[in-house]
Amino acid sequence: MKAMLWKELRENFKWALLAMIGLCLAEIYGLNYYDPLNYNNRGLTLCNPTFLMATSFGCAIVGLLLGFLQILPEQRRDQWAALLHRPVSRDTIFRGKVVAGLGLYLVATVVPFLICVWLAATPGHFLAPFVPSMVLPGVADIGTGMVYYFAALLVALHRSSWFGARTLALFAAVYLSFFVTSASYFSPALAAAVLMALVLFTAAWGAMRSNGPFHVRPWLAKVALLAAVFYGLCGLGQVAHMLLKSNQQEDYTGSQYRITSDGQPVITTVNKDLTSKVTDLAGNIINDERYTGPRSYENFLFLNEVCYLIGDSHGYDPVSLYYQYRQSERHVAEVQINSFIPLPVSWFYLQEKKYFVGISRLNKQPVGIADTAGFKPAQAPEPFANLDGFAETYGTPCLVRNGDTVLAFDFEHEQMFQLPSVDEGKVYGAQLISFRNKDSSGYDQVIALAFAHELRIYDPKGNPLATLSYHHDDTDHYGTIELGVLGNQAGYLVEYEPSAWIGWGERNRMTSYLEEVDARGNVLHSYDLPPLPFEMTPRSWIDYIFDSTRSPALWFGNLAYQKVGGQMGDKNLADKDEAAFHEGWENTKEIATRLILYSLFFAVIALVWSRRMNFSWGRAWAWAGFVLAFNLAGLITFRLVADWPVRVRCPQCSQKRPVEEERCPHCGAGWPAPASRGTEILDKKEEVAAV
Amino acid sequence: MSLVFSLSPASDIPIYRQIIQHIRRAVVQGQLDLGEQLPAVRALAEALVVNPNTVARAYQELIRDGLLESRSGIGVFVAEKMRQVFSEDERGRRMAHAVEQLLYEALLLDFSLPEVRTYLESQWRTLQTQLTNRRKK
Amino acid sequence: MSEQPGASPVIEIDHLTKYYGTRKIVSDISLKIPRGTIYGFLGRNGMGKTTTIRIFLGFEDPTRGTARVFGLDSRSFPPEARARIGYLPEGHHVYGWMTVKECGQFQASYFPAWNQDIFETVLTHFRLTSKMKAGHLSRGQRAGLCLALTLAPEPELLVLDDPALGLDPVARRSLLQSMLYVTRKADRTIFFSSHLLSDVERVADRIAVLDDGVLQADCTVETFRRQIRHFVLKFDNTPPAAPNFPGLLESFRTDRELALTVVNVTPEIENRLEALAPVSIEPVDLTLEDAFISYVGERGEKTFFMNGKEAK
Repeated sequence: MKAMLWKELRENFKWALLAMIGLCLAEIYGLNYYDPLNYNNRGLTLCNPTFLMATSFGCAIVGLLLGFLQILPEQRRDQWAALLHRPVSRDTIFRGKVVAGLGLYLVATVVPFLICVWLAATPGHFLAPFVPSMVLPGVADIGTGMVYYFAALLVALHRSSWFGARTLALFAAVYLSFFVTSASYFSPALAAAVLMALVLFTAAWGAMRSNGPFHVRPWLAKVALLAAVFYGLCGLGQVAHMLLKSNQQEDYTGSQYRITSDGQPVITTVNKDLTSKVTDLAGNIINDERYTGPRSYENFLFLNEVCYLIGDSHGYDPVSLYYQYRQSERHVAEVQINSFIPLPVSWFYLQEKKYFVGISRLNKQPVGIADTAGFKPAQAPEPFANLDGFAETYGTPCLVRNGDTVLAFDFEHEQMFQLPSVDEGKVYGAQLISFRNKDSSGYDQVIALAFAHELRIYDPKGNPLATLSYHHDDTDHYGTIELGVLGNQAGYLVEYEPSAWIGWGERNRMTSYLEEVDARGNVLHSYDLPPLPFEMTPRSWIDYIFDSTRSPALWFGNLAYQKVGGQMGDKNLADKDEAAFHEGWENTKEIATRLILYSLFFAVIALVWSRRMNFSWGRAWAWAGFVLAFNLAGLITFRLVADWPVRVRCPQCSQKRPVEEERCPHCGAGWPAPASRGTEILDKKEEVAAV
Repeated sequence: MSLVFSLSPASDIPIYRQIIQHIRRAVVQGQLDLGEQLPAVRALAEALVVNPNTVARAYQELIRDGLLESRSGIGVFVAEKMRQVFSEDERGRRMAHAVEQLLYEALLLDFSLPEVRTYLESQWRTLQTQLTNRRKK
Repeated sequence: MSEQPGASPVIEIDHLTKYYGTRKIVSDISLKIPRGTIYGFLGRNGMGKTTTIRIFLGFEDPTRGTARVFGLDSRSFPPEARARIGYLPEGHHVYGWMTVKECGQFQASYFPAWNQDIFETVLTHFRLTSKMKAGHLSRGQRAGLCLALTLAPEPELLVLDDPALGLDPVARRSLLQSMLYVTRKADRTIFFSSHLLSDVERVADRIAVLDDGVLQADCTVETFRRQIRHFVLKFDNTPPAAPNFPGLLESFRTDRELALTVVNVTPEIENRLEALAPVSIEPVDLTLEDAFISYVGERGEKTFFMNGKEAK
């Protein structure tokens, strides 16, 4: 073992060093890369999208290269045999290579990453704070790269044609990459990476053990190889799906409700040719240049969401929609202030620690914090009791929920005030609402707080302006309250929308309600906004194929998981289970039937095919069962992984028979001895004289 | 004693036969005395870089022919007295074959019978002298 | 090198067949290599020699049939069994970045019976020193290094796949000497494949000839030579075409002569030759190489007429 380690390390160290340097340069470049025009993806330091591109692609490439370099150059046929011809098991040789390879991989990927972490964590380098959770995306990428290492080992060791199980192993790693980059939380991403690494490692081990055939591998390695090829097909399918969909034109004819600056609700419809028409709620066309011409957005009112649910959350998880672990905002949210002159201090909200930290633009050192006690020097922070985690960091003042009060932070003047001043009940949401001032052409703000039964409006200094009671009782289902301000604060528009925890299907069937209220809360007008007909893009053949080829094992398994989870108390799963079996029952039934039918069809194909190829009944049924559970992907996996017999014509009965069998399955004949040419020279060994 | 000679491996004469020829020549020319010990099979094989079995076969045939004799536990020696193992017919046949070779050569070179006789007698005398001289040592 | 009849063979190949796809590379080979023999494995390139070796050493699985070494099935060698087998694959691969000394240390760490003296002796024989880098060695030196690595663990069975490929005459001679040195102990067996018939003739006890994946010969070198005979038939006028009989390897017709190479001559064949009514039939001795070339070469008749005529 030690000798193999020494050899592998010495042999590949120079590549690991090169990779390390390359990664270091790419990552530092990514850290420093800042695109001020990209408002959507303002990543900070270790969560910078360019940096993460360097880590995700870089670690994957390093893993792939190291895996290939450890096997391929040594695989000139007889050199590989020379390596294996040792009085140690192939397992030992494999272990030696893997330990060395992983060690080199970690050196090549962790060292540059640690350098970057040090750079980000040490104040003075970047205009951004550092919290430990910012390393998570990079760590997940290092884990993913390890999966690519094992995939490369499997690709190099598995003896089959290139277009088959070998390339699919790479796609299994690609599939994992998709998952890791789109996962909401870090733990499932890391767990998936570890699991996939184990799968590919075990499959590679099996490939090392065997001289090619599948059925001689240890059963664990067989399962792993099946899983690797299956996930490879999933990865390939995902890539294909992406490519096919991006070429498809999305036909979008959508209508939506909008409110004019006079407070009128209208319906705007965008046609395929991007022209739009505006109608009133009754459907009569409104031909007003203000609403259909260019710059029409100036004549519409925008409502801001003050809260997204009141009361029971039903397991709703905002993280999964808005703040994935790879996004900067999940860890640190930058305070954006609409000011023409940038402030000398940039402020950031630390999501986990729950206070603000200010960093000087000049020397990039922290200058102070803002917590429940207000603005103070950077020590002894008193974090907010903001249970659902996120503060609004756009505009000034920034509003943070602190238990039952709301703190407002004016970062321009570094002042803080609190509202409401007395304990008035639980606050479900706080929002800064901008509205166009009718006289001047600027914007004014009000602060809105959502309570259990009413909205309270304050001016930007915290002075109360109005109290608006909810006129709908069912705040459990209508817990999303949106507010708009009519010009010059003549009045307010309050909209009641379905709560955030309600699923998309049911949400599209619920009516919304709009009220125009005056400054004292009296309802002036009340509108019902029934759900607009939403023309779905017709399900194309692409969607049909992808829907029909899902694995029953996974799909039904997911249903079972939802049911059990719901029973055990997880509200989110209970809601999904409910949706699948009640409102979505038709859809569920349709998909279930389709999956069963297609899987049965492919399973029968597998059965017939394997019997034609002279598989034994036991093996044929086993494969058919596998294909039944995994549908088309299972069929392809079966074809690629199972030992496909080579068949030639039987010299006796002229039917095709497998070359590995002594007896022909059709006529029972053996194999004839090679034809004698009459030139054989064979002597009996006993004739040789012994000396 | 060094019994190294060069073999022609890519020859139409099998190797063991070449070894036999070389040993016979060595005995006749006096390089190998009567009663002298020959190298061990393995030693000669390694010197000539051939399979020991080949050397063993050569030795065996020479023992059968009576030129060599094997003393168990000690080794292989040139026979003190050449045992005549061949029958009269066989002896005659071998002699006739050798004479035939000689006479072919003589005819090609255009020698007459008296000249051949002269050559025969002078060479015989030289060989005998050599053998006697070597035995005296 | 004595053989006891009945001792179990070191390598036992039984009805071995191997396909690559639908192509039959090795066809129903049965071979027994007795302990203590030097066995030459001959055949033209691509006839299945290396494949056979790879199969009985456990690097390929047979399609049909079995191969056993020391009585152990090649598909399931216990790792310890490999300590008793020395394998020198074709190509003399080494890890170029290692020095000669490091190559030795790397190999020695795996083989418990490593004999450093043997290793150094073979190295000296090939004029190799410890500090030389394996990647800078000439072909012959590399061969010497690989041979040293293979011989040092003193294996009971030595398997050499075309060991003299690319070697100069001095290196080839050293190789032969090393092979003979190995067989000093009576129970050592050597199985080697080669194209150099003169070397094979020097050291092999028995040979096996593989042609098109089929075992054509399995005999002593002597028997092989004896069974392949060459005759020159002289005629007064244009010689007739050679009669077609099994055992005719090749024939060559000129204006006045018909030369035939025949294997397994029987009295019946001799009669047929005499029936052609030649003026004389002269047997000609063949070198092993010529015999081998006729044996595995192209069948058929070649002609060479000076006056441009061809008899019917």
